[in-house]
Amino acid sequence: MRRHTNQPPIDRATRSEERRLIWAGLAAAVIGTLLLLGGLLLPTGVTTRSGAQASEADMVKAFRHGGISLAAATGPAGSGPAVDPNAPQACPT
Amino acid sequence: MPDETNLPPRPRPTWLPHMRPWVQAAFAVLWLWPIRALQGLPGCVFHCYGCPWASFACPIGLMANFSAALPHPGLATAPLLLAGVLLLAGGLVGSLVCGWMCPFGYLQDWLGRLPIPKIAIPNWLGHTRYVVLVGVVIALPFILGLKGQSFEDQPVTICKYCPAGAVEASLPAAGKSLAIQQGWMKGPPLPPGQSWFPSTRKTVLVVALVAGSVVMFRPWCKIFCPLGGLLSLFNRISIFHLRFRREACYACNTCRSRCAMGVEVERHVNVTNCIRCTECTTCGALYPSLGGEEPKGSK
Ligand code: SF4
Ligand code: SF4
Ligand code: SF4
Repeated sequence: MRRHTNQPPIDRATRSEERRLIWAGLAAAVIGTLLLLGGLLLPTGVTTRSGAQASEADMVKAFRHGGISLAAATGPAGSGPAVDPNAPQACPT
Repeated sequence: MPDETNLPPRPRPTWLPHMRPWVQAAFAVLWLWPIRALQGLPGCVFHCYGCPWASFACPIGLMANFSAALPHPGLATAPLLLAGVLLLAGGLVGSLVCGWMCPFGYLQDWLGRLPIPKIAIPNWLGHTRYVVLVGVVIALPFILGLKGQSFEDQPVTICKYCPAGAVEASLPAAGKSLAIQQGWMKGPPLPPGQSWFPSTRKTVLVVALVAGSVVMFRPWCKIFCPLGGLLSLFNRISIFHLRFRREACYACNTCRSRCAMGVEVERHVNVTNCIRCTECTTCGALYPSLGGEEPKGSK
């Protein structure tokens, strides 16, 4: 991965040591973990085609399995758009 | 050449850069392990969920889908799981994900190894990643969603112009269609008149990616990748970071000359255009840190 280009020299005396505390990164990781747990445990308020409450994992599966077509995907008794997490996988491109 | 008087003894070289291709290969196996239980989880790397072997789902495709669903009352939801995965990865390691874990970065690394002179990409082009993230991944699907179009029906989406999707989803799909057409495997036959060959758009994307990666180091990562741009924002705060030990620096500039991403290593490395490949830690004066006291590395 060498670039073979002329490089400006490092000035050892003035070059920052880039030392820092980890609290900001730790806070981001803790908030991320809480959100992750929330996403795993809480229902989304979206209905699946079978009428159940979709989890976020169901929505992820529906998105990767062909997405949600507003025209075709309606919930029980035409109650609005719904997700189908069990559709076959589709190529999104 | 630096003045070699008053310079410290050369520090012990680190082994990290030599480990990287092996770790990248191990992660590629993990992302390509199609465990059904994992398929409802967002990943933290750029790996298309249309890939038939993908375990986790591509966070960028998901972000665009959630954004497109937001204007529809029955579908709007806060993507907690997705935000959690990205915050967790960003807070822990930042763009270490790009240097060590992402299969699409790994692919570009392999193409970049071909012994062909490389064109340097100007650093300012890295801002395009944020235009793609905010404009194409978040705003555009939302605006078209407001007009009543679901993500799949939108004429322009990140997924339709994504080279990872073209390589990781379209090529396997084309191979499968060819195998079915030739009778090598069973499956639903192609509709009459439809070719197994990928569409012109996808073919152009694949050719552009391969050609670009041969003459430039990681062009997608450096110019366009919205995920790399997002994760690199955490480089300034993440727990994993790189530090400089000035008493171990031999002023040989090995660090700067090994960086393929054009980072101004002589000034700072925890910046948004760094992919944390750790190539610059070869001499040992720059070293990876989790925030504790520095290791005894110099002889
Ligand atoms: S096409 Fe690209 S953005 Fe879309 S899901 Fe695949 S990899 Fe992600
Ligand atoms: S910049 Fe994007 S494609 Fe490149 S390694 Fe990072 S996540 Fe993967
Ligand atoms: S500064 Fe360059 S060589 Fe060092 S970790 Fe970042 S991208 Fe790699």
